[in-house]
Amino acid sequence: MADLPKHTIDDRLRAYAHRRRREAGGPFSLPPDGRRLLQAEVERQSTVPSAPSCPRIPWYAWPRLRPAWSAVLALGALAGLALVLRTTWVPGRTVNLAKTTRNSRPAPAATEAPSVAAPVHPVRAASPAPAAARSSPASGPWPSVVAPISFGAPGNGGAVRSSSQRFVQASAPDGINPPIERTSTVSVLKDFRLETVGERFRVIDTDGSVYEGSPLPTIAAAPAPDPQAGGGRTDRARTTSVVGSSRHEPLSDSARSFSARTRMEVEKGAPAGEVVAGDAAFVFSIPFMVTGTNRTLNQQVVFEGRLVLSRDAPRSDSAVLTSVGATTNGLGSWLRNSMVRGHATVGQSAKVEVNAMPRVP
Amino acid sequence: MKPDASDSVNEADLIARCRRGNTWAWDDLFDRHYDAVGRFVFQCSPDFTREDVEEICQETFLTVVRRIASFRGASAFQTWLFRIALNRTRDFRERRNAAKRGSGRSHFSLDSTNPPTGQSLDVQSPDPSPDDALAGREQMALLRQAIDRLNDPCREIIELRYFGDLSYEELASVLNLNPKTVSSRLSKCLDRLEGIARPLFERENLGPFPV
Repeated sequence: MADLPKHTIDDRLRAYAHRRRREAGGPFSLPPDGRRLLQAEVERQSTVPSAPSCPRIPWYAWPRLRPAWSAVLALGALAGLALVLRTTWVPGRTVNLAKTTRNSRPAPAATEAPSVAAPVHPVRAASPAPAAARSSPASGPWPSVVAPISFGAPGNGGAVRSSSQRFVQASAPDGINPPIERTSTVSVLKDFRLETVGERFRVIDTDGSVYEGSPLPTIAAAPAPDPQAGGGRTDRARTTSVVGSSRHEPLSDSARSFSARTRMEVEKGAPAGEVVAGDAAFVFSIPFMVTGTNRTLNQQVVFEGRLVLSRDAPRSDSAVLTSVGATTNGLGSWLRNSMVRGHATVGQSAKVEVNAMPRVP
Repeated sequence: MKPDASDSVNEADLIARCRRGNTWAWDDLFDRHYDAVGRFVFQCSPDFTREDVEEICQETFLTVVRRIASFRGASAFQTWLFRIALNRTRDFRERRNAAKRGSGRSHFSLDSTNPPTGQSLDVQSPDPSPDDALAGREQMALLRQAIDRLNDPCREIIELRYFGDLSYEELASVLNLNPKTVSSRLSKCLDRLEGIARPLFERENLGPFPV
């Protein structure tokens, strides 16, 4: 430390201190009475309890505080329970604690069927849930598999997609569909374009008439009948597994252009569905109904048809079979390998059979 | 059992034992620091007697017993002790000055006799000698008077520096100041004290008092 600048008072202070030290004489010692006094103070200080860090609640206050704390705790528990119930409880919903699958697949069969043989057929959500129970016993060893449907593409995990395909009426061989009177003179649905927009079907006729509608409820899984069980060829076998809706569609001769494989089998004279049963060949159909006014005839047209899809469709599109919404959204590649069958009612009674094949531009 | 005085117990352990209420530790603490505190107190005023010092020391150590928990160890224990002693000395002097102003001190005649014994009182003079009184008593009183006119921070740092003989580092630790701040403050306080003391000494026409 640097020395301070010299002060005259510094000399006086040092002289004063030196003189007082000299005057003090001998060492200072604590007198006995002073020591006793200090030790008494030490004893007193050591016996004084240290101040508590927090004020203690007297014992007589506990009975009054206990109900208050109990009430506070009970209110807190009730509030927490109410919050949990409010956030988790949904009216009418049952909690299935045993099933924790993330997928909305209804049964293991539904997940395995497409890879083995039976495709999963779309079913509208409006259809009753136990649709599988309504499947026909004639469906053979293949169980009908009904997939749950969330009808409506946007909610099914994707944007609404549209597909379209031009179809032309094919000439059916004689003996097909004799109950239906063929009205070749009526120019209805001879050449039309089928569009699927989301869950809607739209048929645009040659003259610009537009018929709109939607898929009909249901579709059924319909494996091809076992040739052995069926006693050989079951030509033109039509199996209706679900009342009015679920049908097994045997391939008719109009399907000669349906696919190469089907055409080959048809040329052999066997129904495609039967022939390819051993190979797990399946077709499935999406029934639909569209209505509108024909511009040329100025008459109401009601077309009830089925969009028959072939198993020869691209495998990558097999996923679209999980739901109608997905099917109708992803029919782009399927429509090129499909056919439209059905009958249209023109006016009050005139019926027109429709057996249309896709036309490649 | 009282521990042997030769035990080299460091001060921290001693203070820790004092905090736990060990009476032997307290005795050891008193013995270690009583003389230093007494000498320091004795210098604080030119008219202090040994009895005054004992009284002040007793109050000082009483405060230490009561406030030992507040000692944080930021400075040496003796430095902390000197500061307490300085405060107790100031209190003592204020009480005594108040008693003088209020005639609290009883007067008695040196010629009066003690009624029980019939003997006259032979009171010893506190002054060292008449020569010393002539030479320096008045100067010392004037210096003390000048110190008392200082403000508290200046008076404290001067008394601790010259009477307690504390170094700048010890002053810095006990006053919670930077050592450089201690140096500058001490210099300013000495200037101020010199400015107060000079007219006092010139008026009395006194030179530096003899050592």
